[in-house]
Amino acid sequence: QTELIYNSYLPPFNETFQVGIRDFARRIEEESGGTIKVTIPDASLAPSDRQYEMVLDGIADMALLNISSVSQFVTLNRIGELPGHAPTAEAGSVALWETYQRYFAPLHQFEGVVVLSTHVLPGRQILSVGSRAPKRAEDLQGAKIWATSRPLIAAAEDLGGVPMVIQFGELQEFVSKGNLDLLFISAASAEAAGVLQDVTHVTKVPGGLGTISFVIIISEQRWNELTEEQQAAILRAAEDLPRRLGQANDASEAEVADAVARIPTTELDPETRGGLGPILDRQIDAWKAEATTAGIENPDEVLAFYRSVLERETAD
Amino acid sequence: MLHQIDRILLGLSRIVSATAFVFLTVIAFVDSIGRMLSMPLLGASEYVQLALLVFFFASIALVVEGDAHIRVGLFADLYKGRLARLERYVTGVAECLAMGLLAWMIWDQADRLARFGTLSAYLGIPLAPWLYAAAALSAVGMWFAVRRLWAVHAEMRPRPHAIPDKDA
Amino acid sequence: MIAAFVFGSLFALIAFTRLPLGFVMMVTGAAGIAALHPRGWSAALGVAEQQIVGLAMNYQFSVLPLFILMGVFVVRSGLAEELFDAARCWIGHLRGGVGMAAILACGGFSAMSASSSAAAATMAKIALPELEKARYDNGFSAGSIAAGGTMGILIPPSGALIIYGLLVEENVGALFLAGLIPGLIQLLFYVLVMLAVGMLFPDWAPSGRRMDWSARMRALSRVWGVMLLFGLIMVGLVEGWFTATEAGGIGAGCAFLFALGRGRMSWRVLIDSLGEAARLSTMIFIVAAGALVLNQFINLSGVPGAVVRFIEGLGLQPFAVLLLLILFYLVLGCLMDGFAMIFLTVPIVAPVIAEMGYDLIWWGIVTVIVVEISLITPPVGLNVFILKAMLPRLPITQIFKGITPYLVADVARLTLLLLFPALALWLPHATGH
Ligand code: NA
Ligand code: NA
Repeated sequence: QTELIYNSYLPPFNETFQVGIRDFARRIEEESGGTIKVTIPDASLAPSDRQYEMVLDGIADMALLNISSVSQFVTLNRIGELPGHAPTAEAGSVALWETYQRYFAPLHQFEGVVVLSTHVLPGRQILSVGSRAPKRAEDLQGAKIWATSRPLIAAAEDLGGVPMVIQFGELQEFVSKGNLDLLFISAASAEAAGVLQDVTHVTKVPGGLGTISFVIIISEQRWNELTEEQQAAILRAAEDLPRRLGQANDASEAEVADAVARIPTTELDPETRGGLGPILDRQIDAWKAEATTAGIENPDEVLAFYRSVLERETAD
Repeated sequence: MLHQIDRILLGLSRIVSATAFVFLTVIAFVDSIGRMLSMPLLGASEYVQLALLVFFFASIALVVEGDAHIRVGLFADLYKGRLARLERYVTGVAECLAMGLLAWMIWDQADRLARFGTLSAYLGIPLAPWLYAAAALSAVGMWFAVRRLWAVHAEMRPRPHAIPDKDA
Repeated sequence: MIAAFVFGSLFALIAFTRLPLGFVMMVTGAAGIAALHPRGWSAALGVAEQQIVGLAMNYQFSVLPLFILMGVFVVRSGLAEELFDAARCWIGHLRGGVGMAAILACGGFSAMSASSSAAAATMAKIALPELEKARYDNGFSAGSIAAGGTMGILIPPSGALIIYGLLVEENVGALFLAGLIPGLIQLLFYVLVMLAVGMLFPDWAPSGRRMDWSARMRALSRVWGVMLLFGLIMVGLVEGWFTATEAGGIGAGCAFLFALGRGRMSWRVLIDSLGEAARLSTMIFIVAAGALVLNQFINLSGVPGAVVRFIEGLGLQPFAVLLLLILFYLVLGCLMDGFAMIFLTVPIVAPVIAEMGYDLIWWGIVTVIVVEISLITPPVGLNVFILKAMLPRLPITQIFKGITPYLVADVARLTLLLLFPALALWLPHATGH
């Protein structure tokens, strides 16, 4: 029997943990007919932004990680984080996975590991925790905005707001004291941070302001030590994992839908996006430039493919 | 000669530690005020993190030199005569080894981050050079641990630890 | 089996040698990880390195050096002395009055210092000569300062609560607010102890000289700085102007400006203060780093789960388990340094407390109170040692004798907090934590 150590830094009630770590580990054990045992340590063996190093160092064999922790060499997967590209987490996750396999995998941006799955969170929206109810780009001028990832911080700055870079755990404290105006977040994440009851207004940006992209990896060295049957078993267990992860995250948004329905909401027009479009789309151009550097000959083709999958997935 | 090296290394550790400490305090102070006035210092938390790293590792030499470690030694305080002397030497040597191990571990971590090219999350500053510096500062701490072996004989009756003021 | 061996070596090393606690935890923790992990030493080193570096770069942890620096600046600017003078001018003529002034000054100083040993050492230097002049019993004076100094880690800011928050991942701001009311209760109880001793044993705590009104007003006019600084930090935390981390930056910055404004700051003083605060915070950093490595071993070993199952197997009421834990802490506290106790026990005890459904913020305050008690119980009591070091000719038994009335008060307030958790939890909850 082979033991694989699958690290997790997520709390047990988190959907991504349940589907992507706990259930995935169980599936691997089942599919392998008991020849693989997957151990999930009680506490993370490394900080959340050091998961990749942890796997390369052999401290754990498998991990789930946010790609912004490896931004120095993983650029292509950011396609999943672009504004307007996450109508649902499921569509975004499946589109990212298909695009990854078709265009990115051959370029080997993930050195020393094998990528088993990719997924994105539901698109971030603008949630108000003060008196502002933004309907146009100008309404964000001077607002104190909570944003996490580098693209969202850049967007907050480009829109004339004051980005407040505060850790997720401190968010509730800042909101309850009225130190923030707007959050670039999703309703379920706001619920997880304990601030949904403080939200006074929701500005829905079609396809989201952008989102956060993840991968699940296994050490290449460990992978090569497995038998072919074991490898096949892991791949069978990973089949459709991006979709399951996307669905789980969409479901957590659906769980708070009733609460969100009671909050005044402005839905921005998909064409104009209240004037936010041109500013947000700068990130699409930035991604294209990075993709060219990374060896993609025709970034527009990749974007078109990605969007075609989104369309297929949201067709019904 | 040795005393001169001591003085230079201690002075260096003091300067680095104090500079990092002042930087840390100023950034934390300015950022706190700035946030209240809607003018946060972007990336402040990362400057604070790097300053904190340098500060702690530079101050290790001050802790070792001032014999300010937290120790328990429930029964060790009761030892008398030769046993007491033996314990002091064994502890002193083990302390040197532990400091050496710490310095080596930080160096090893720096190597790993260098190979990996790890950047700080927001400002994108490479982390490895900072850790090499931290490893070097820990090595200075080890120097003082070794130097303390000379003094073990002189202070057989250790003072209770953690008395905050030297002039207290 | 491995866990028993690791804990056995850990306790043997810290009991039979004077090896630094941090190094012992670091090495035994790493050895334990190496024994448990399929990848052995390479994994253990990787985990240990990441924990140490992670702590050295932990943004939240920066509040520790900042608050320690604030305390050092406060001492250097002479604020502690003026606090005591003001209290003495107003109530010194009462029976036990100079003693009450010393207790009040301990409380006031605790509001600006994160450490109990700093509070005891500072107040001893300032108050002991005056207490002697007022013909207080030497042992009782020393005992009062040793006990009064323990407020340093309960009244915010508190180094012990910062460490506890780090280990159980609770909000330091909430912990600080939770410590405020229990801290004020301690202050009140200690003043009552002084009052009672002054009435029951007048030769232990006689009355001092009465001061005229102009002296009183003059003394009072000099302490506005302390009040302002503490008020700013507390109101700021309650009103949410800033978080605990930011309060550290504001506290240290303001204390510096204050010392500068009163002409107490020179290059020499600045350099000395920085060095002293650096030494104090780094000695805690080394232990904290070791504790986090050991913590990872504890997580891998599954010991907390085993302890929980063991306790469930006993079939005790949760409250009985609590009482047993507190009894265990009180006994351990007789023998061990307070910080060592937190670092060694919280990673195992906190999951048990959480499993039984108790609030970890409240338990943090309970833990700090038992640590406070450990600082003044024989035979190993850090604050007592500090007083003993400053009064070499006074027998240590005299100091312990002088502490006894305060221990009675401590048991009373510990009971109060166990029966009414709201004393700790009301303030953090009311302010949205
Ligand atoms: Na305090
Ligand atoms: Na004790």
